[in-house]
Amino acid sequence: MSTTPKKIEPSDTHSAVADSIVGAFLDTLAAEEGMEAVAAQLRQALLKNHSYSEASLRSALFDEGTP
Amino acid sequence: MITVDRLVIKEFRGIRELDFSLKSKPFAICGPNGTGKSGIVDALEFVLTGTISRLTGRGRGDLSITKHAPHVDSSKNPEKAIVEAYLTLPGLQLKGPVHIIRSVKSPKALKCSPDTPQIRSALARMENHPEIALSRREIIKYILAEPGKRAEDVQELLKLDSLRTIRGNLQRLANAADKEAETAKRAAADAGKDLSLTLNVPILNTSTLLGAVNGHRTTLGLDPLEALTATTSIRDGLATGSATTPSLIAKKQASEEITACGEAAAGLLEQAAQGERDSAAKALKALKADEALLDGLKRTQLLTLALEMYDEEKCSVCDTEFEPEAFRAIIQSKQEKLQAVAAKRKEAEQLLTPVVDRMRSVARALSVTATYGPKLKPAVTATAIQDWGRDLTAKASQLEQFLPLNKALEVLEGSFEIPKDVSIALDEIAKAIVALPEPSLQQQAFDALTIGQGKLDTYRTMRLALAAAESRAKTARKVFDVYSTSTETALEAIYKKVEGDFSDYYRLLNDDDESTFAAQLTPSMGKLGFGVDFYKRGFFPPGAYHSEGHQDSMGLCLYLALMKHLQGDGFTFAVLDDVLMSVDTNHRRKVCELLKTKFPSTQFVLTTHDRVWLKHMGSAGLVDGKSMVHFRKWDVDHGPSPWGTGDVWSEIAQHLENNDIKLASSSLRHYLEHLGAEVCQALRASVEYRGDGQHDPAELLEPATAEYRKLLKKAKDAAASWGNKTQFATLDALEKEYTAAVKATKMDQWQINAGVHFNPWANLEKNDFQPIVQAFQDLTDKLTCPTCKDLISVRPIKGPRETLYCSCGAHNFTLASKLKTATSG
Repeated sequence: MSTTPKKIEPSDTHSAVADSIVGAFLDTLAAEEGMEAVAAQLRQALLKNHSYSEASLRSALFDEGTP
Repeated sequence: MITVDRLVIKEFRGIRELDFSLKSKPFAICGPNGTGKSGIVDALEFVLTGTISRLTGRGRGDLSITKHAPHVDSSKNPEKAIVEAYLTLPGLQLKGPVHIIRSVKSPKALKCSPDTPQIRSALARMENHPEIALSRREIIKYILAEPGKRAEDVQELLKLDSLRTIRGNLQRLANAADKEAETAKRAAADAGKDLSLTLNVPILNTSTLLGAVNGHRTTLGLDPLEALTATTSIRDGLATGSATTPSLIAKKQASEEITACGEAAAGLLEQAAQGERDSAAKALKALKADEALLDGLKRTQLLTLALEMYDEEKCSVCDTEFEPEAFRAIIQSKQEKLQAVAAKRKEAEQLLTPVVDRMRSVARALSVTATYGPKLKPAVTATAIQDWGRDLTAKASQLEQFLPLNKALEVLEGSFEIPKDVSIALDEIAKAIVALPEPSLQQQAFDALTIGQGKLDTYRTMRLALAAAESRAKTARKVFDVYSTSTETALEAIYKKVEGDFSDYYRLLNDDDESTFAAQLTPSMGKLGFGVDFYKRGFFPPGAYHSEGHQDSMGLCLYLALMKHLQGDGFTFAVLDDVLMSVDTNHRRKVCELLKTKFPSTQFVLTTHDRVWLKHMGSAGLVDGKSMVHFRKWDVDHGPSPWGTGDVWSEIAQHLENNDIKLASSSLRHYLEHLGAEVCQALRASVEYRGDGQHDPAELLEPATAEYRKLLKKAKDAAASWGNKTQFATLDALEKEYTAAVKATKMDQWQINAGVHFNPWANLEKNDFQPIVQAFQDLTDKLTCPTCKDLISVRPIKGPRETLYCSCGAHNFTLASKLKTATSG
């Protein structure tokens, strides 16, 4: 029996409900004129990295690269 | 998806060692208060999530898992406190169960076998759902909470707290971007003023600027510029086409700048400026009484935390006892006061803006003017000018900082007179510049284009910075607005679905008198209103008119509706810890129906102290006869003891060995009460009705033993009618043995009769009592299958009696005789 917990993917520990709401927000945002790129950056931060900090969001919003 | 096949608990909470087979099916745990039910709930929560909410929730003070989860005798050895579970994970197509072990010593280190990323991932999902274990106290909080708290609790349950975090950060970013844009706008305006001054263009636009530039270029014999684009150099051709060199001080520009500086400084004393300061000071003074509340963010956080930590008894900050409603009312009033003060602060900050702008404008002009001092011959000391500029900048910053109010008021009510030494220095510089030789027209034009180019470059940079800042502000505001609208819409949709499911479940429970029941979940401004229909008289808070039993069932229904939405098909396991104690008998059957029909794939573990409720769960088919445990007692040395046979007789034997007849007789009497009820249930024996449900052992045992004798006889008659000689012989033997066993319990009629009614056994000698114990043990054996240890029962549980049976099939005797056929002729 293994005694060391293996790394869990972030998506496994987050609410599917919250993720679906955030996903719907990003879809709406992407449909707004000129917001497609911002939506893509936010999708990476919020849904892939599950990083909600101000620094992460600033970086995604203003395309500042990894904070 | 996870269900529990088996649970093994060692040295955990009040349990020494227990091993349950749950078989991934609904399971019931029954026992009087203090017999160990909650220990099992804690064990399930612990092994699946690594936590025990009873020890770690709000208001738990100095309780901790490591210190208090082990059995009290193992508190120094948390490594001995272990919970194991064998789980089924149907979604993963595994060959067998997954064995997991969690030790109190390292609650977060889950051991599992087999161990694959997929299994770990499924286990991590379960760890993320501590809401699987629910007590009545937790379930009712969704019902009786005030709207703001309910919104928090429900969002926490649905794991929507991340949405609030995101919203807060997006709002902060939007506000910060707005401020950055304001700063950039001021900087661009300042740069524009500088450029206007340098090229003497009162109104700055492309046309006026181009006209002024071309005027100077014509003077220098340069071709006029046709247009002014973002990259146009107004000095184009100047370096090669002219022998003129730039002046150390461009007299004309310097004169205009010094004049502008003087006017700006004098402007601080004008009536308009004084009026602005007076208005701002008045607004600040109005806030003095509430200055302590002005640090809104920290106070809001404190109040939110105080509310979260409140344990329905004491304030966690000051330890003062409060009634829940009173406590929440105080916090709500403070929050409202904070909001009002925050609005006043915003108004005051708006009044301060023109004051600050003026001060910064003067400070900038002083800074420019001061640069001429050292360039003059003889040089003029500009230290006083620089110092006043720095002083005005510092004071402007103080106003922007807002707090403390006294400091800001000191600034507003202080002197804005030009200090004497500054006035002298400004005069000296002005005079020295006036005394400079008049430059030629070509020199003036050369200086204007050269200095103007620098100012134009700065202006262009500031305009670009402003455009970028405005773009960022627009983006951040747009993202925040879309997020707010989108999440609000999504939450409304979620609450609508939850509202529908909740109403559906509640109607199912109360179809007898509330078949048209409806509910309203109304989200608004971070609150979640909850109204329930009361017999078509309108919508009211759940606690307004509905009984406690109805509130309990509402709590369960809302929890189930939320869990359905949260986990969907993944809602396969939940512990309902005594959640329906106020629900009456009829509605409990409906609860069983609700759980069975609406959640057929969910393994519920239900605890109750009410044996009738336990029987309901069995008779309603929510749990089967093997999927329940009924505790009879608990003691600190042994932990909980389930009702059974072997352990009772061992316990009585031990008491006899110790010559403690009082304890032995108490145990026997207690067991016979339980046995009588169980046998009457199993054999469908008729018992005299008692409204309080309390029967003496004899009142249950006598009908139970008589019923079994009748059933054996009926089974014998049936075997004879079918010509089944083998079965007849078996039953005949059973009947004889049983009759002898019953007779043995009555060997000393005075003892038994007196014993069951008045319990004088305690006064007997060991030698007198030993045979009584033996007789009842023998009788118990005759009522029990020796193979599967089940009580022999009648099937079905309602209607004509068809079979006498046990679960292993060793006893399976028909009670239906062959019908006699009519003889011909």
